[in-house]
Amino acid sequence: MASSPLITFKAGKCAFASRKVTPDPTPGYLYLYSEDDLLHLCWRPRSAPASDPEMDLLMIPGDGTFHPLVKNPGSESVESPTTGRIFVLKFSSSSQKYYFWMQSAPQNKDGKLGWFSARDQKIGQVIDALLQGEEVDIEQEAREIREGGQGDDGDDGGDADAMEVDHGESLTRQETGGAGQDATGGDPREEGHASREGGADGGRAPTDTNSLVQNFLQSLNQPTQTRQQQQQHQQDIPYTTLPELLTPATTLPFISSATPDQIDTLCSMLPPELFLLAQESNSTSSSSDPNLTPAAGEAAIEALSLEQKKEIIVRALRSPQFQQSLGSLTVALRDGGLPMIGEALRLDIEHGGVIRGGSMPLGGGRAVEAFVEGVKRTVEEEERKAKK
Amino acid sequence: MSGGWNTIESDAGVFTFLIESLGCTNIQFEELISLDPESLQELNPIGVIFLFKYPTNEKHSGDKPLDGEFDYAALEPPQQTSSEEDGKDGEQPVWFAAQTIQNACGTQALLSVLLNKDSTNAEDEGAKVDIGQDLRDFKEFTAAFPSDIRGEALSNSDLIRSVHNSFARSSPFASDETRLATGDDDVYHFIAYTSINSTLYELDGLQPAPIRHGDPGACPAEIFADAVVPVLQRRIERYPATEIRFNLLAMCQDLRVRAREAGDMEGLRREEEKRREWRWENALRRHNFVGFVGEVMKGVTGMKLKEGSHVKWIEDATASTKARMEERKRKGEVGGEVGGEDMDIS
Repeated sequence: MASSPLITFKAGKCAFASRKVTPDPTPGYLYLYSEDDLLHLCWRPRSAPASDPEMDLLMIPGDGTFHPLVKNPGSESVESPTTGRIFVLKFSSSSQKYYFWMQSAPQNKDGKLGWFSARDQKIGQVIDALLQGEEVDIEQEAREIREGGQGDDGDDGGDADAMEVDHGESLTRQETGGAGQDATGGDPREEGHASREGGADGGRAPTDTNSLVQNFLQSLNQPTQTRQQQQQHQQDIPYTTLPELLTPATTLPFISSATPDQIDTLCSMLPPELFLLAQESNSTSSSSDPNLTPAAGEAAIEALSLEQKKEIIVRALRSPQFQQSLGSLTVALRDGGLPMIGEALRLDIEHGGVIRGGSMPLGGGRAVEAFVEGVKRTVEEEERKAKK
Repeated sequence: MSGGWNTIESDAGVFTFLIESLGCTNIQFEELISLDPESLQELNPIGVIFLFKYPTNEKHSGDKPLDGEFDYAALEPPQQTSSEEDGKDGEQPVWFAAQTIQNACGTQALLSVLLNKDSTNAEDEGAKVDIGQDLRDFKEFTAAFPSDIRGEALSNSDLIRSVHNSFARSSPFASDETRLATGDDDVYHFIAYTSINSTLYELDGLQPAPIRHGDPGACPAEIFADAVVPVLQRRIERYPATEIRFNLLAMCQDLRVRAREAGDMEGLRREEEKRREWRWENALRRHNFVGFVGEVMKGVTGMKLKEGSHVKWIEDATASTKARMEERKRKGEVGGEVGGEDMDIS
């Protein structure tokens, strides 16, 4: 294929026979590209190279339409009459129809599998607009889809799961027309929970983007076992992972040589409970639950010595929970989360983490590399500023 | 269809806090390292949760379970009490629910014990458990349902689901334990064992009915620990000797309360320490580490730059990743070319 796709999203083919739409489980991409001023609509399996789509339709502007298949046309809720989100491609020049089903994680809080979120609808609208020959600011739309996608109650953060970086990925999970029994449709933690502990979000970073990242991580809630990196226009590079960069052998020396300021900053990024527990074990009774207000947390941190704080940080660094989070953050970076994570951490990432000249986030090893280099650049800048 | 259920770990701390969040007090979970009758007796458990790798190609039992007997009568909704039943001193119906959601099965297993221990009869006063108002309401609400509808009710319960999910890992990537069944792969499954109406039952939401082990009435709560050990042993022996991936959690009275009542200060101190461990782990489990990782990365990067070893640091890590990938390829776990990477979180 000569040029890069205008828009790509995870979608599967469907068979249509006697009024019944049957989804094909093969994970795939539906994408549009433009060549010689002609628009192509293509579908390929995710395991196939980008140069070899199974389906490549030449689209005359205005001939095709791309709409969600809805059970209640005109109603506020856009929902397919099936266990999946189906789009239908129709032509004015023929009676041919094609059906595709969205393979990204469904976003309906109640687990309704046929329900189109605002993000889902937007993807369809962009494609439809392109098919009409309209001018679409893809970059703008892509950003909106990525960042502003609204979940059920508007707090669903950027979701790069649907709008895909165009590298081949194979899911070993069998995705059928429905998302299967184990689909997780909503953010698991947005409901208030009855836990005794107040403030489950122990993260101190006050930026909204931090919870965006958390939502993003949760939106990747499809267990995958293998990923094949087949970058279309960018060869991916073998790189490394955060768990392998931030081993205790690396992080512990940093902690022992860290300044008190650095230690305090690190403490503020850990759940306050850890410090309250440390205080508790210094005293004798612990039968009642401590009060877990942020103020109590801060007070607990202040009450501890530098050595005690370091101990707590080291324990956290060695914990399986931290190791797991390094792993999932790595996957998030590889899966297109670099721009969002870079922003949340206020890092200076090259090109903001998107592929140069485009709007697609970097993926794969390149994204992790860009992250590591971005951290380096940020640290160097901070050093320079401090010296002034 | 209900909302999403995330995976949670089968960990004594997680389960203990989970039921406390549901309103059940004075009960905790203890991990059993070995199937040793004495240590199980020590704990005086009200039930045992057994977690194991569930072979997807194992034939479903059909007419007969591989061990024990299906007790379909126990599925019957409560009848009018006849004089015969009064004679049995108020036998209670067995609360049993069919499993509808894979990720909920741990919570379902522990609820299947709890909801059968909320006994209002005088039979075993000591074994009565305070499951809390919410669970009592749920039990009452579902009392007359058939088991499949009970399972639906459980998966649709906002309260239970949201408490369950609040213990989900902050990592969206499940470990091996919850890999989806695709034929070759196995999933992990939880089943519960407990004594109800002085009878030893195995409660498995994937089976059509509760499974009775031994004769009805042959297992009063006091001898549960003794009676369940051989049953568990037979279960474990079903799996190849190389298959060691199972987990046993006993449900018992809050051990701190027991220690306090017995005047065992050393034991109390130990149990308090354990609780602190659990709270520590739980705090980390729910934590959003993104900010912390950012700071650690910056700090380590600064250190490496000062030492002049930044490039080497990355090279070493990249080499280690490459070696790991090659190792896995050799073991046949990964397809794909160099640059193709399998995110191994474990």
